Amino acid sequence: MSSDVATAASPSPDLFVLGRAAQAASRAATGGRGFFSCNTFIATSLPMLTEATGRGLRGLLRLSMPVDEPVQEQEGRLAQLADQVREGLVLDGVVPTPEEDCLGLATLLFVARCRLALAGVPHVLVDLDRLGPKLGQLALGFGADELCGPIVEKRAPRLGDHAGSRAITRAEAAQLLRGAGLRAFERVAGGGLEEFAP
Amino acid sequence: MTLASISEKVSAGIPLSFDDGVALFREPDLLKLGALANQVREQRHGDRTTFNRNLHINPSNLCVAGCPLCSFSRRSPEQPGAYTLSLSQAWDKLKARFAAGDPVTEVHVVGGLNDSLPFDYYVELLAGLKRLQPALHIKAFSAVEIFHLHKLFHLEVREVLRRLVAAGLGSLPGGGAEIFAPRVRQRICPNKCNAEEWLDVHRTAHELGLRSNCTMLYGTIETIEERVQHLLRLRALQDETGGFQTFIPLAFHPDNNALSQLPAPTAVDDLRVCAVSRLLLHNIPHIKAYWVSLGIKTAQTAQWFGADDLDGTVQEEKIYHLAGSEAPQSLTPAEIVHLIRAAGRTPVERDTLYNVVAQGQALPAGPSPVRGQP
Repeated sequence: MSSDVATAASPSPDLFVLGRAAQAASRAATGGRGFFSCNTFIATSLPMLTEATGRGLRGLLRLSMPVDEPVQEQEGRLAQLADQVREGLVLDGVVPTPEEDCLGLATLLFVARCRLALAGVPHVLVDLDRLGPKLGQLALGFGADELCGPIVEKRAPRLGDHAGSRAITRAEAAQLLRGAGLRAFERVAGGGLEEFAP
Repeated sequence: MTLASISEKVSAGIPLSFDDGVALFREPDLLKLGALANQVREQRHGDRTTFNRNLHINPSNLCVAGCPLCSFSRRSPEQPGAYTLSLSQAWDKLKARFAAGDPVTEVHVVGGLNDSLPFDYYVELLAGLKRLQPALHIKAFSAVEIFHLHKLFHLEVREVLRRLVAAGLGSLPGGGAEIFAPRVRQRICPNKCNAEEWLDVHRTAHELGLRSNCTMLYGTIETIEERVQHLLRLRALQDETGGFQTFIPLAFHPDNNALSQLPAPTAVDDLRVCAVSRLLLHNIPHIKAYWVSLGIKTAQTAQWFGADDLDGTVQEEKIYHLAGSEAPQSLTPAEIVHLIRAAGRTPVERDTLYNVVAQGQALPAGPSPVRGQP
């Protein structure tokens, strides 16, 4: 390993150990299921989260990840949130959201730390709009269990103006989940779950 | 076949078999697979990841092959976007890099199979680049292009190569291999040279003392077995000649081509191919995570899944960007250094032949956010 300082942008020497631990925790929490949802409200602050859950919405919180945030600070933030959950904060999932310039490995490690630090939070979501399908799928191997973002019924072929679109179809979302070794379930209206037929 | 038994073979230095390769592609635990590939990568290269300063020149996108997989080519000069660079336009691209204070060490030249350019165009293109920068390494013309020149000008492959070497050719890039299986080739690139012809061009180049790279395009319609067969054919030629420097797994991009109904390969595919390649191709020194093809984030991650090289600064890549690559057109050396250091690896600038150009304090310092990364 190089002698990089321990920032969030530097992978831990135990990249595979951390990744596997987070993956195991995720699999244990969800029974090997993966989820996707099309229209998801994500709160960006605790007051917004409280208001959302008070109105009957699912409690999802976006967790930003600044570039080069030291690991200790990152873990401190997560520990604080874990305490709040233990004290009764209603939180069904977190959405780790790297700043634009964050790199791939740092993002994956943040996802893994979220899973491991927030044992009382059932889900770790991947926002496909922010991570893209590629890194998003990798995050499923580092503790995430749910995809959200631009998931559509039918997308235009990747031609002309639609080339480079990040939208994926429901079938493609299911394929990403299965490709990561998870059974694919869709969140449907009313909060139910339906296994997505292959 | 289990990962544990394969791991024992890897530790004992026993080349993996076809069945091992298939089992690795089917291994459900990507992190276990990655850890094994990383072990081999670190045994060979420690924590170093190499890159170079290079410039891509695509002289023409006119191409008689008409491959369904391609987003870059045009069949006729009348088609929108069709172009052929004049020699001075091509040379100006190199001049511009040096004028901008970006002293590239390599020019990578690949283009369409243009049947209207004289042989002298190719010779002069290389000779002119060399005249401008005699120390420059020119890595030019895929085996498919060399084979096209052989057919078009009725010259033996060896003679084509000899004349290009005399003009300044230093090595061959690895493109055009796609997937060797005829079933796949017939569907995705029916008019390109076949596997034997592709391999023979590289064999001949190696016999002439040139080094070359090799590739595999994955994510179209190939099966796992066809991927493994492809890799083993590359390995067999390497056993014969030892001339390959680097294997580059190339992810198929479906935008703007006749295969746009296919989904793009996923990042799990990308890392799996990278890792399996490192394990199967024990006799090829380097595995490259080509950031233009993989995207920056996946390429950065690939440094832990078998890859020990990130290609280079590139400048003005056309082929993948027309197929939907969201990666930037180029990276600065500082950005690549940052990308490598942020992955916990040690960056080393190399030349085309993997000689060290700069490392440590001699590299651009300081964190540098990477622009526009997907």
